[in-house]
Amino acid sequence: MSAVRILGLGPVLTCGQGVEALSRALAGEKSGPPAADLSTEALTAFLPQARIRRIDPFGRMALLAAFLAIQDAGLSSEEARTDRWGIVVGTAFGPQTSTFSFLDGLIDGCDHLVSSLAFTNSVHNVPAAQISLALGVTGPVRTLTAFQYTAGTALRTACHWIRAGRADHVLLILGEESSPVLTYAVGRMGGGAERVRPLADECTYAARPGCAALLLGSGDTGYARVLDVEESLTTAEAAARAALADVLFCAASGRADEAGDYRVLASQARRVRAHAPLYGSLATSLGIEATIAALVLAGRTSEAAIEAGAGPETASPALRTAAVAGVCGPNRVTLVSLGG
Amino acid sequence: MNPQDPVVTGLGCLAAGGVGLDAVWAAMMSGRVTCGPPGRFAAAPVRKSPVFEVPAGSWRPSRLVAETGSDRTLCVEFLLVALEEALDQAVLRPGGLGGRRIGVCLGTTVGCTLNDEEFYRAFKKGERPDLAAIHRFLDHNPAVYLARALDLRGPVSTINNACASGTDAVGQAAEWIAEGLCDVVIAGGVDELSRIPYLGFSSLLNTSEGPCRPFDAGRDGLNLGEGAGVLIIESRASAERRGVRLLVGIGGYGCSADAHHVTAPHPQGAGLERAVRQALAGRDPAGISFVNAHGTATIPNDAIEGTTLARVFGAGVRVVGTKSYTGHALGAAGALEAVFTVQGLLAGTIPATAGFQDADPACVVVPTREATGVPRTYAISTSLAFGGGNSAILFEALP
Repeated sequence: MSAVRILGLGPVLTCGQGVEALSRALAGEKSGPPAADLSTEALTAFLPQARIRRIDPFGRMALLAAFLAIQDAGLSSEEARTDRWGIVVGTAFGPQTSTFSFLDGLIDGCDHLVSSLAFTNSVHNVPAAQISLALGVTGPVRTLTAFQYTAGTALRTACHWIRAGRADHVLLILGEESSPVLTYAVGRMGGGAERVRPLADECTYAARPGCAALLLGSGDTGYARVLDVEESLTTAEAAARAALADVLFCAASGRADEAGDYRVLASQARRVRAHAPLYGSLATSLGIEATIAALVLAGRTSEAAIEAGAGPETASPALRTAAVAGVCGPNRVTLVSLGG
Repeated sequence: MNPQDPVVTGLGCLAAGGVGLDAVWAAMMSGRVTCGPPGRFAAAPVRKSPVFEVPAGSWRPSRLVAETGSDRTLCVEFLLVALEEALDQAVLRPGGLGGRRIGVCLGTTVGCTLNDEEFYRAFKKGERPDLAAIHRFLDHNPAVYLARALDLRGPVSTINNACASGTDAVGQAAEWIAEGLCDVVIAGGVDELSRIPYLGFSSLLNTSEGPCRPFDAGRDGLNLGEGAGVLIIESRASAERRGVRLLVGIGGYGCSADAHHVTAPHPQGAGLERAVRQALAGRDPAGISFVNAHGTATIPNDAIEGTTLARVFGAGVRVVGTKSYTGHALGAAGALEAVFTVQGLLAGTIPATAGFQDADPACVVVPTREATGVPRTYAISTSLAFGGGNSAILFEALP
């Protein structure tokens, strides 16, 4: 895979929004479990309220992340108004607020009075459409939704578009909303812990909303290079590859059924980091860990200062390579290799 | 052709017209339209509209996956039925797929949305409902299900690009092959009828109270449908090595956004034109055999799509609207239409566009009025989606 670079980052997380806030959170300025809610009020800095009014919470979160990533890359959103930009959105559960809002209308009202707006916003690709509309992006736009497989495929799709010449820049947005239904289901499944312990034996899943936007492109600047995205590796294969990297970032979300695979990955890695305790459990958290990995590789946050979920706490020289792993199922791992 | 060029080696489908491509194609070629009121759910929408439902009992639960079919979603059941047919044609033994570098790339909408009305009703009442509905949702994302059930080792992707999902899934699968990511991809799309989109589309006032009439001057909306379309896509080298028949090549794929409106297409079809020209990949538009159009039978879609196709290919281009036989199967639509496009090229003939009587000058193009012979050159299938996505996939006859 030829070099695709991460040019800008737009984290929108309960522990912080934007690169600076996330860096502060990583440095330990935030303590305690991640908040349950996520404000997107900052979107008004980029879009007039009248434009935001009909966009649902997922769409607002994704849009804010997109704007932040563009700003972080030192670009103007006007530069996105072209068919040379693309958008890939990855989400496991889609716009939950709108999904359940439509059902609320059905249950509380009646069949013929359901909300056309809630229906429209519940369609999973509408957040991507909202970004395309707000920015004027007329290149390829895609939404992927395959649970833990989502993030890796989305990243590889974005890289492919750039390498194949379909687009010069691609906004990759990976995120999840939380909802009372998800919170209830997680609780019934044994999760709902106050704080995630990523590699623990027991379930400590704590669903939180959040989103990571990565602006990808080619060139010589930016945070890091995407060296490779490998999907459907066995855990042993992924562990062997991850062992070659200076540090392994685990998208571990506190699920008991994935912890064993992560521990195998961690056992062979030089250093291991997992940050779900900071931002909560999200099915597409590979994007968040890739964001943090990019910050570390660019020297924008101190690796030694990062709160670790596992692994030795040793100060280290500058890191040159990172692997980001996401367990997709039993003995199936997506591995993203990044270079500084 | 290069050894890594994507080719199609297997096709499978089921839709309202039948189970299996032979049955569905025969129904289409005879002009048989099978739509009616929803049979599996009751609904009182603002506008009642017939649907194209796969008749209950018309298919046998698939034995492709050893587990019992009782808890499977209908989406997964449809998918397995279509997949069995496609694997059979591609001479791929299901038992021999495990551990191989085989990708899965499927489009869906209903199949990846947590829309269980009964569960949510109980949840709202504070009844602490059983999680069976949640597990059913978590266990039946179409691509993830298939990858796990068949122990596949290639990339896994479920695409939800609304109405263009199936076309994008086929296009992405072709790109995986061209990239060398895997040897074979199970590609396509699947969706089942559900009260949610039925009522949702009705709330948008874009459904027809009668059978849909693509490109007709009197068209007044779409009908929803369901089904599955599966294409086995592999590299030319892989297919030749296995000694199987190469049905068609995939010669191009385009996708482009309108950035115009969430539910309305760009008035000049700008995004669609970009997608079609990308799919053409430099070919002379005059050489096209036919276009299997998105053709939802809504007033704006058909006018904008027809005008755009006429601009690219000329007003005389052969156009067929196969949603008149399947309804709009949402995430499955593009995949079903891809299957029909390949079949049209192979058969050298395409069906009449059911329901079409009077040409609409606003559409410019005139769809097929009867079964029509077509040259075996190349054909394009187009999709326009909610959210302003446009996709086009080009299949090419092989010597």
